Amino acid sequence: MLTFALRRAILGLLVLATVAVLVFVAFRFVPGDIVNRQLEEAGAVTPALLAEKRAQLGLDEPLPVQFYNWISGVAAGDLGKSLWSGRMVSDQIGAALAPTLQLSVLAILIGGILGIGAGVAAALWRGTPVDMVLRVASTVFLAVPQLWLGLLTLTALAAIGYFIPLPYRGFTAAPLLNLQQVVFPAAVLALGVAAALSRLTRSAMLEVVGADFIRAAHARGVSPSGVYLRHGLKNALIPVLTLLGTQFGNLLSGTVIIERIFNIPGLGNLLFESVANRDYPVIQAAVLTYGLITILVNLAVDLSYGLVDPRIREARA
Amino acid sequence: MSTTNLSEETLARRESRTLAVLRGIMHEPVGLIALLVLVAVILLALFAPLIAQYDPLFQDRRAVLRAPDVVHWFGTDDIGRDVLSRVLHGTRISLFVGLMVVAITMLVGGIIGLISGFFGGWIDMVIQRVVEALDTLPSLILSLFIAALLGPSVRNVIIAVAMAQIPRFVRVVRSEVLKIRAYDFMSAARVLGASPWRIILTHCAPNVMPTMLVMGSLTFGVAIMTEAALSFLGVGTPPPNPSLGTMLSQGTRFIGTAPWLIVFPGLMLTISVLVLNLMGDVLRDVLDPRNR
Repeated sequence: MLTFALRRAILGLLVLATVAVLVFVAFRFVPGDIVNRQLEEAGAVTPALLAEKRAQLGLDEPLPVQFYNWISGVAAGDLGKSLWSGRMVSDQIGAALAPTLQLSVLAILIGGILGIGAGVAAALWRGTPVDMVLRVASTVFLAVPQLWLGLLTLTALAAIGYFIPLPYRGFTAAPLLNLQQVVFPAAVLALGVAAALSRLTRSAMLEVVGADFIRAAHARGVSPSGVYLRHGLKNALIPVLTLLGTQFGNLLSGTVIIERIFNIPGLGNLLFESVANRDYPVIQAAVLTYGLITILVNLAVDLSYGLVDPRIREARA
Repeated sequence: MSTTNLSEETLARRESRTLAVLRGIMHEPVGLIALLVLVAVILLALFAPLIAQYDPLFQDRRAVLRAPDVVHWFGTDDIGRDVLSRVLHGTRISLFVGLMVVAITMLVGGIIGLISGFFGGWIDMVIQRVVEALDTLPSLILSLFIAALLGPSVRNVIIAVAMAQIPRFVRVVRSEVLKIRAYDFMSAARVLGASPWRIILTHCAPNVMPTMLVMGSLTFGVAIMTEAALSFLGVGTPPPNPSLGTMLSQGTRFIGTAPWLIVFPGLMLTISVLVLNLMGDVLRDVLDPRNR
């Protein structure tokens, strides 16, 4: 198990390194380099200023040297300085990470419980109105853009005269205020997750429920809830776990929009602001951070298979 | 003489297959409804300039932030533009971007996937590492990154959205090719001396087509949603083009006072994505060989 985890972690690091190379290369493909564009927008392009700025940022060095400088900084946790605010990029990323993680973890928890619950219910009451309603709801919520759902939520809240208190406060600083600010955006994100999960849980459950060992469990006199939850759901969980992992990626995409709508100063908002300001070091670092989160989530999902299925655990040992 | 006969025959066969797929779609009530709504949406988008009663850019300063009424069915925005006309033109842009994204993704993703799966070796190795890395980034973040690099324009939005969808296509097409490669007709073609490109084009490509079509139709909805998201964030379709995402972004300033600025563009967006998803689902059921 440990060697397996270690091997996956190293593979993950390699993927992250590839992401870093691609992100770095992508910036060099931009027509006109970063400094040129920045100065052009400020309306003051002089050759001397260009050269000075370039030297300051190390852009006058050959490409491999530039890459080495950047990547060795990244490896040491030094992500450079923001071109816009002059703050350390690592500080900005660190500050933005907490709200995004809180939001996504809350959303995946709510969405997971809702989605798996709805899927099990739809499978158990297959063909009944409950099943129909749940299936229609999941199809609709898969199609509703979170962008719109978030704005509709704000519209509805405004209509009943409720306005989410601002500015954003962290959970440790003001727990109650923080929950008021986070619960609506998390719920919006959770609905998308739940919609995708319930469909898959339903079909996975239906496949398992027809199996012989379920009939055997019934025959042994196991209570219906025991049969469906302990024997049924546990065996249907592998594909659901896989989807939960891929859903996390979609969830992160969603947070960019939702943080913007609900004024949460997370990673998505940071990415958005750095894109608006063409603050390239911050964009680079934010993209890399998203990559890191996804890799960690995939690693966690990979390891959780072993927890659910003893056969996988033994095969890896 | 014989060649023309042959091509006519293939043509007839192909036609009957398209018909069979269409019949399959219409056989299901959900498929039929989705198809009808989709056709309606496409017609609205196609003939938007004829249907819309106002110029989507015309600013009527005497009718600012009007609630929906008989004159302006969907109301007007903060500078007096007719929301219905803007929604119709916005749908046109959405569908155009979606269609282009699907076409580019299928073409580029398909070709790269075929090459990766067919040739294997170091080409496959390099392609797979890049695909893996791109796949690590959440799709909207990858699109946002590329759109930010390229700058806002309709062309760049199409590139940015397609780039985020291509990795998935490459992976699926590659795995399909790996399956096909094991069949006897592939070795037969090789033994008969067919060139690799001929095998790819005449044997591999047609066999991965059903899978590609299903994935393509499911990508359509995703593409439209991503375009809206990018435009909402200000790196998508540049104003004053009436993109649905841009409209939603402008509407956020009047959330408590003019809900119609949020409701109608979002509703159109949702309906488009919903019917495209439903069509994709039905198409999958019809084209999936296991269901035939």
